[in-house]
Amino acid sequence: VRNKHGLIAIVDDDESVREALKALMRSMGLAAEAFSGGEEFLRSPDLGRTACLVADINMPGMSGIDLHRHVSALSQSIPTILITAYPNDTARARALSAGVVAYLVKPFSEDDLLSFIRTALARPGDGGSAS
Amino acid sequence: MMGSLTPDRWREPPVILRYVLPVLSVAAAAVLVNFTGVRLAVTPSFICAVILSAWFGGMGPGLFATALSVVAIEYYFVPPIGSLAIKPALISGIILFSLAALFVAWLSATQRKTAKSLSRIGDELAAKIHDLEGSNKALKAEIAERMRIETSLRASEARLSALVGSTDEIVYEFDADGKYLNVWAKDEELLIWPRDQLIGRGLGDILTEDAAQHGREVIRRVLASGEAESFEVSRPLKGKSRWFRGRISSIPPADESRRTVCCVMREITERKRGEQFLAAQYEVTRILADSETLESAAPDLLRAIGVNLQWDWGALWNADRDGLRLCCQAVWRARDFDSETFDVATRELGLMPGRGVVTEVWENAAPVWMADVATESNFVRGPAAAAVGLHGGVAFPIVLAEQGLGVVEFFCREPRQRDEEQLGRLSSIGSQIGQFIKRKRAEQAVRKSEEEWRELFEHHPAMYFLIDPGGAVLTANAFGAAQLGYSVAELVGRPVIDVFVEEDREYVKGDIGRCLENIGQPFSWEARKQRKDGSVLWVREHAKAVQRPEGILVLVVCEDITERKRNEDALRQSEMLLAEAQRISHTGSFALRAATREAIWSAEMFRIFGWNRTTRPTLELFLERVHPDDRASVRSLLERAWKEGRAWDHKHRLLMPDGSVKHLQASGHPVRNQAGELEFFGAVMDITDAVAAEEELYRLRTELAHVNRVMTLGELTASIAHEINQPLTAVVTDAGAAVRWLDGQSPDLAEARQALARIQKNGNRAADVIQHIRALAKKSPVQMSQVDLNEIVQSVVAVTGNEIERHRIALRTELDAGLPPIRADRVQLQQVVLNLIMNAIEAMAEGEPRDLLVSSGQKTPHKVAVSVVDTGAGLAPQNLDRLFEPFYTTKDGGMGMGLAICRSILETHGGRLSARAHEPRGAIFEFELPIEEVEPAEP
Repeated sequence: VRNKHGLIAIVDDDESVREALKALMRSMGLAAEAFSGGEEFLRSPDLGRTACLVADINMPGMSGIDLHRHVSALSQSIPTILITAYPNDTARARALSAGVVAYLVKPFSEDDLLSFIRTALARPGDGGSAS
Repeated sequence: MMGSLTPDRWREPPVILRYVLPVLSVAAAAVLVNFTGVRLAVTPSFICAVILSAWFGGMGPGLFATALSVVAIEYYFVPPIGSLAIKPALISGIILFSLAALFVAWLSATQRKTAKSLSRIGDELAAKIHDLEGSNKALKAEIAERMRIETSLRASEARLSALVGSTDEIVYEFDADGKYLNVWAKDEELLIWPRDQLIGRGLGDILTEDAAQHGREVIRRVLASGEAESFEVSRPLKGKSRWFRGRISSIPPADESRRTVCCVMREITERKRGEQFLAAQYEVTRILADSETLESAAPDLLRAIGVNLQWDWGALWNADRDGLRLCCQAVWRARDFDSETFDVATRELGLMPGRGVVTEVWENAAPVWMADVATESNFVRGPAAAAVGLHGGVAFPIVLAEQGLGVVEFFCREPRQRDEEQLGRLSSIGSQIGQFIKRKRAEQAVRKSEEEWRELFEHHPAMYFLIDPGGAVLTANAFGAAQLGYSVAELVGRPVIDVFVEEDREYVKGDIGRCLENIGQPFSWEARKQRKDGSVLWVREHAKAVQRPEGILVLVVCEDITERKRNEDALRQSEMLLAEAQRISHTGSFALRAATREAIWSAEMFRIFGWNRTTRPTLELFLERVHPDDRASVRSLLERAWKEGRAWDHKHRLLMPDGSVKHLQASGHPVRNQAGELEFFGAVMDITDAVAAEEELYRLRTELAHVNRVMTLGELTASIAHEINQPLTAVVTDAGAAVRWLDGQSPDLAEARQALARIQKNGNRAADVIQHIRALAKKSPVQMSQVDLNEIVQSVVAVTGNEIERHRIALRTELDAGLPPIRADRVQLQQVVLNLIMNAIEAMAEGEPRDLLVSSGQKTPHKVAVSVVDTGAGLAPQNLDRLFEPFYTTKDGGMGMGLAICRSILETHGGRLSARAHEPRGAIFEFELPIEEVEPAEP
């Protein structure tokens, strides 16, 4: 996993989780940006160079799933990993059917997350070519 | 010559003249004496004057002349002359003269009287002689006249003889007893007996006794009254009946004892026959004209022909119904003819073709004359005819179109020569009867058809009116009149407009006017008519003006559409009701034909979908409004339903042009129409408000659930999980990051330190969460207020309604309306009731019955209680003690906190919660609360 693969965008309303994930990405040598909500991310100039999106499902305002839908509708879709503290089979099925790379329940192991991020970045034709 | 004066010419002069005469004669004597101067002539002169006066005047004038003479002599001739004085010497002379004069006067008067008498007698004699001469002349004239009359009479007699001899008339002279005195006849053939034998015989010798008697009576009558009588009589002469017309008049009697009558007779057989034929023909015609059927006409026909043509018996035969045989329809006989046996023989006879004269006539449609039936071999009733003495006969057919319909036959008691003229006449009568039958048949057909039409017209359940151009009713059918409550007679002549209600009259007038302007063109309109009793009916009228020979008529056919109008009104009303109901309930309805996709939408449907009503409803119109998210599913659902003819019922949304969203509950079900086509009927209900209310309820429930979430296990778990998982996630992630910073050849200690610092922070945060949850559970601040326990129960029951229904639980609430208010934390008590009800619902998840009773009541003056009774699994007695301990649970996945928290809530309110078993199954949970205000105790 190298930097040239582009930005990892982290969207979570919980600052601790946000910071921790950003730190983890950095420790892996990946470029990461954290956003407190979906709207903020969509407005950000980083949207175009995002190679992978890690988003919390349960957020005030736009939910992680909504965010994923929006991103999917863009001309260049971004592989998404959804994380949640409220595991729910229905939500899980919906998320997977909506085409997310992974659905992870908090707390999750860093290895799981990293392996899914690698999978996401390796997806051919997906947003990784932005840089 | 006085004596020759006739009394006629001599008339006594009037008295005045008789006395003038003496004056004049005396004066003349005086003048004569005076002028002549002859004194000696005095006396004779005056004597002459006296004689003259007495002769012509009589005695009186004679005396008067004497006196005048004395005076005249004394005055003129006796001295003193010129004076009346008398010298006494002369008196004797005067007296002498006077006496002489008197004597002369008397003499003269007497002589004259005698002469007068003689003259009268002479006159009378002359008159007598004159009379005698006149009588003699008259006598001579009379004698001459008589001689002339005698000559004339003789000439007249000769002329009469000549006349009688030159005419066809027969002249008889009868005496008062009816004896033939004289007979004159040019043609003796016309006499019953030869002339010579007739004269001297009586009527009784020649005629039948009846005829002779009748003749004698007539003669007597004529002689008695002197007035002539006329008669007609028929005489059989040489086998032929001959008719005569006679006139009997009395002959002026030459000898009073020998009075006679003259009878002049003339043969009128030809004329009579013509008359009889005419009479028969006329009567036949009249009878046929007056009769309805041949059956009713037959007796009269037979009589008319029989009487007029001198037959004695007649019968009419008619073909029976199937036309195979003839039956005797009627029989007639002359008044004086007893034909009983022949009548019976005839009536009993049913004539088949090929048998007898009658059938022969029928078959050949040609008449037959029988001079004498006794010689007719083909005559079936020969013996019967002979028995009653019938001989001559005729039979002629009733013919129509050269086909015999029946036969008429006549017989008479004497043989009768074939009479071609009569045969011809009877044949024509036969044709006439045939025509009658034809006409009757036609009339019957026409009448039948007319009756049928009349029947139809009168009783066909449509009203017919015939109107003249002025608008007056000419006729109406009975049904039409009855519909209006009138009789036909009451309507005829009335303006038709009268039967319409006031408000409709103007335009009906206009419509009739249009009919009249467009002859032959039908028009129709609807209007209200008013019955006689004032009630109103709606009619639809079809009218047409027609040109008839008698003028223009308007025919109006009219049907009662009151029922239809009523139905229309009812329909309109129910449509309005439906529209109103749809509007109020926000429900639109539709019908849709699957094959053609034709659709009908109700007004509310258009309103719900926000389309103009003039828009043609289509599926596309429908789908266009469906929310884009729902469109595909709705389309496929509908397509499937239509294809498979299935009902549907689902909810979806509409996105209106203004961006608003409507929620619909739409359903439809298939129906096969009469033509077998698939149609769908359905309703669309705008449930936006309901959905909003539901959402609001959901929101409220969520809110309540949120408050409750620390109480209920799942929520608590989730909440705790989330609150704790967040810091945990951060911790785990940061730890991973720290490990990585520390790994490798050049560990980044600064980054690692930062990560560890965050781990510390998040660890504390997790601890805070636990602390917070505990506080939420145990130390949430209570908000005491005055609350109504019943209201709290009802609010929870409302919230749990869905769950109760979903589990098919029968809920009963028995709330004491007199429950006093208490002071409590409303939300916390709601949590308690909710918990108990939810527990009860869960306890009844399996098994029957599922009855839930929630009741409230005042237990003591100071306590109120609420109990929740279920018929669920119940409580094990050994577990009752542990029921309220925290973390005790009998449910899979339960945390065992609910009842513990409930008890703690109640305890903070100074109340208590208890549980016991419910017989035969289930559990009772009951909590009590004090009525007095209680300060919540610190737990």
